[in-house]
Amino acid sequence: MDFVNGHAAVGNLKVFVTNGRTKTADEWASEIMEKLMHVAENAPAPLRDQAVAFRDKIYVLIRDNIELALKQEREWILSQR
Amino acid sequence: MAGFTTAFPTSFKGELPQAVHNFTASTGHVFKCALGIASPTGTYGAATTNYSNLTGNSDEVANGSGYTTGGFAWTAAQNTTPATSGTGAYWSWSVNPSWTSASFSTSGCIIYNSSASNKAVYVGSFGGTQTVTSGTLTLTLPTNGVGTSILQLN
Repeated sequence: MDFVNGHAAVGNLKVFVTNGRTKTADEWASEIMEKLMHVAENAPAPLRDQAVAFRDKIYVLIRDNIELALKQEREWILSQR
Repeated sequence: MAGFTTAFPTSFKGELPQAVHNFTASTGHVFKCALGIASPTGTYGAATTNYSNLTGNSDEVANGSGYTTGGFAWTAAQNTTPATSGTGAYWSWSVNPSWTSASFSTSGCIIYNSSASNKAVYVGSFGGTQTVTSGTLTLTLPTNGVGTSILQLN
């Protein structure tokens, strides 16, 4: 009889702490990118470079939109006072 | 030795073929992430079976100061339906557990299924004590994919 190996595995959580403040748009964007895509260290260099370049563009897009959302929310709250 | 060791609970392996857990987005179960104190008296890892293991030893972070006992609750909509790639399956949640206006110390966590008698599905070690003071503590889940996801069968 043949047996096929399989296993259950878990990924590692990272803990991120801010003291005396909430997270910045940069930190939110970094966190989202961690969930969105992973670029393997051992990927072929041309593919890895393209993936990193793509990741950087998405990061900026997310960060800028979070900043805009935060700004608009604050302006809205202030306008309601 | 007391403390947390990152592990896929053995009981969870046995529960998977019994269809105890449903990770389907929106229609699946509700999962929670409870934090353990900095210096727990219990030992948590592959042998952990249930959230009650944590509470039974009084090892959960105390209620208050930004933490509510029971832990962070994902909605079913935040489940990421298990996917497959190659010979592996993987799944996760769409948002990271986070505690704001928080002041406490923690050294590990247990993720459990609150829709299925609080059975444990993940035990995580933070590699030491993590302290937050009047701030935000976030557990960043790894990228949901083969070889990286928080929960995988390969």
